[in-house]
Amino acid sequence: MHGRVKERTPEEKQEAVRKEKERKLLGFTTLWKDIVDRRAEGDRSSETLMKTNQLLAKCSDLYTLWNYRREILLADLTDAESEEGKRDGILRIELSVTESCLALDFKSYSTWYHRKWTLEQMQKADWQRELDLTSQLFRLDARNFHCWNYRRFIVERGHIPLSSELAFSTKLIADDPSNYSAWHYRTTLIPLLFPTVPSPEHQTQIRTELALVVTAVNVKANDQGIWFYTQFLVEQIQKGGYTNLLDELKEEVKKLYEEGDLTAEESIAVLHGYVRLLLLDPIQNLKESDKKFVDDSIDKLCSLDPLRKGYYQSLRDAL
Amino acid sequence: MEELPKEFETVVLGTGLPESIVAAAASRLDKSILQLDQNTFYGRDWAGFRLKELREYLSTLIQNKFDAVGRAVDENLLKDGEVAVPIRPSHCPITNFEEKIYVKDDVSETDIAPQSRQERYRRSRHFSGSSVASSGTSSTQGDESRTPTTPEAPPVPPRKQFSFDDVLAESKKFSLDLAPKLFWSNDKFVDLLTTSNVSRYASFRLVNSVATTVEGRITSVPFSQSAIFQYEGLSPSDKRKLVKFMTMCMDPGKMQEQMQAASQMKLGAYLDKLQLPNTLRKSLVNAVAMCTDQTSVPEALKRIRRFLQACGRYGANTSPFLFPVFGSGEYPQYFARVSAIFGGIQCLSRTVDHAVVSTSSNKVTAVISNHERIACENLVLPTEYVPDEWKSSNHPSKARILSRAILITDHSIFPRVKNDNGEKQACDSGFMRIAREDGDELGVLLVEASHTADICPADYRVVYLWMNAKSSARADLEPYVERLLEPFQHDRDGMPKVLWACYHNYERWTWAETTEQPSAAGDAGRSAAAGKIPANVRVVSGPSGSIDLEDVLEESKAVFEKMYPGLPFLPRIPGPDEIVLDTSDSPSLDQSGNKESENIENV
Repeated sequence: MHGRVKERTPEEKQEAVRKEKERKLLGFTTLWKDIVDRRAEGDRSSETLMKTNQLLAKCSDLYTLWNYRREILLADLTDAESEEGKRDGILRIELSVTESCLALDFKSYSTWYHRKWTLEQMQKADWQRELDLTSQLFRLDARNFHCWNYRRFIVERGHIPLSSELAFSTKLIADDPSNYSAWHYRTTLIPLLFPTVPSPEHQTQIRTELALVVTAVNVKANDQGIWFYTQFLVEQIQKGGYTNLLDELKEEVKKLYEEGDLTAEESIAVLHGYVRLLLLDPIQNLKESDKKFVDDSIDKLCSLDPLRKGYYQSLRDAL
Repeated sequence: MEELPKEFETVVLGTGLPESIVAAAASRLDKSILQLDQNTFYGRDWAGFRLKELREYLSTLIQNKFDAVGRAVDENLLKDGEVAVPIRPSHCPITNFEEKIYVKDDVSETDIAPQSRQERYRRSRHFSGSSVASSGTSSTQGDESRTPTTPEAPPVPPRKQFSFDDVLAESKKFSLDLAPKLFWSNDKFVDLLTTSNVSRYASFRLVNSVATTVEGRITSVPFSQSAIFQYEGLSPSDKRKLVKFMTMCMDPGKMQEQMQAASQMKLGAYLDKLQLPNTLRKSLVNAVAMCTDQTSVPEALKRIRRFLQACGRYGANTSPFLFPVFGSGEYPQYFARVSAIFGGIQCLSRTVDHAVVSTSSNKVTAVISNHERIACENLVLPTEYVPDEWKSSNHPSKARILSRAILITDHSIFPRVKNDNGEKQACDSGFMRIAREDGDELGVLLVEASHTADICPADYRVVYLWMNAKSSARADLEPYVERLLEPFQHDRDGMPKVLWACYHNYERWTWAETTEQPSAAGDAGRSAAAGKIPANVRVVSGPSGSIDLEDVLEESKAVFEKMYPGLPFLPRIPGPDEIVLDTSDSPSLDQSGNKESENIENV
């Protein structure tokens, strides 16, 4: 019929895919062989460097190639020693190579290692740009530990102010209160930012953290990460001896438990959190009513969450 | 002029969106389709225009398009037992066009033809250019900052001096829609674009702000968990209530319970129980549920659920709306293109003059277009083309009139939004719903977009407003324009300014096709219910006031299913790589697969 469109059949499509695969495989093996031969001959030309690019773009896990690259580069860098800026120019190309590899696979050990190595070789590295890169990659996977390690490396080497890192973690938490990596990052930052405890600055910060945690547990009551962070916060409060802050926290958790209209799952998390907060004080300081509350709560927890019965019973032993 | 074939399965009059969707769906199944449009452009009341063309179209439309006298019947083209019924638009759906230009000191009304105004402004610019003293330094500065040879010019001048001439000079970069629309990220229309592969032509921008006005202030609506988390002035327990409420709306079981428990309640009373702060409560009613306090709880919950389900489809914490790049005026063309690829013939500047009706069967057997008889089995036409003798007491249903405004502004009226690095920046495109005092369910809808959606040059924004009409479009909408924006001549900082505004009313008639045919009734009962309209004529309506295109899709699908019952509606269109090219069968298709060699445009 006039103007009718003819489509390929599924078989034709499959055949085309198979041929394409074969062609790719052949290209890959030839190139690989060629590069291995060149290395054996001690070839350090920039042409060879380009060839490794082609393979790494397809598979960035080939650490042999990264090693070979570094061999070639080290030779180039010694040559470039004399000229101002030439060294960094060569290394900037390396950064763009690793960047395009990361775009395809951001969890390859060898790519991250190569990028770190490149930055260490540079005289003037653009640390801010590296930070932005990690921020972008966190959007793809907020718990990418390669990326977190790399970020810590950048912060250390680039002398990035830790306060801005704290703000970054706040932003990640606001985007997703369940981002445990971001909460954990805070536990490492706060002791570094406020080494003297107790101090007014430390106390102010802990107060801010308290507000953040209270919002977070209200929005996501059954998220474990937030409760872990609460434990860290309590340690900090105890270190500083800010008893009023601890009371505030208890008050908020109690309010959430009583008025929050919790689901069974949330009840377990909140009740457990509350019991642990009460048990932080020495037993002799606990009021009788609190003691009774803890006792009742543990019964309730045992019935709501029978799998962890033994653990809850051990909490009772403290009484 | 090339002659058209003498026979088609279906003749479609008009290139509006529903007509084009029907044409595409039928062509896709290798039905032979002829699509005619008396205009010189695609889209009918759904069209998108450049700035100059829009002004020209709207200002000339009312005078000369619709009083044309029909052609005389060519009796020799009729057979025995056939009568010719003239097909002419009975009225012009677009009325009350008014234009207001705010740039320069003199605010002018639209009492002069656009051509001469252009001239006037050109002259006045020459004046200010030649005698610096007359118009002060600011205009010279403005001219300099536009010159590309001065890269050291101040980065962003606080307020650039515009003249309307500057705006008109970039006319081609504007793409202004008669019927602006958004898409819900998960709506049926978007689904159709994906399943049919029409999405190959289309791209979108995420709407990155949703707002409403509360006591005259524009406030953004926290539609995501993250936005609620960061919402200032809301206690943790209120945040919890809100999140819990939203989670409930996402859980079908729990929502059903709530709907049953509160089936007799109004939304207002229901929200009283939640005790949310006023701003938040209003945001929820105005922009999320898009209804009023008087709406019933089940209906409101359904709407909230729909809003929330569309959130976050394209990345965490994203808004539920998509704005079509190049505007929604492109969509009729996308579908007409699909029809053309599959052998449909599109022909602009040509209309159906008469429908030839066989008196014995009460069916249209052919149409007469430009003194040619073209036989057809089905005829699809827009409501306003339906001749009086085909109308009945039920059809068309009562008209709804919309008031529409199209504005060109200089800055976004939306609150600044946080970008991915947590920095605040101007909003790219936004949706706003303003509640009306008289409690109208539609409210006032506002869509704003920028050059990121390729609908205007970089220094401008385009704002669309529409509502159910109370009186003329300008009287209805100008108060809102004045509240949200200030006229350009005031050179105050801090508020976005309107450079140009145009208003028109749009009258929409629907045929209410869905209630037409009782399924089990015989032919006799059917024709009584359907009035005197021939059995093989299908009627489609113009754009409605709804924010999305789902109603159009539903209507097009219903029309298609009546014409071709049981056949698949727009199955996937093969991509270029899936098409076999090397046979003599399909010489009209090139590598990209969308060459429209079948497209005849005889002007």
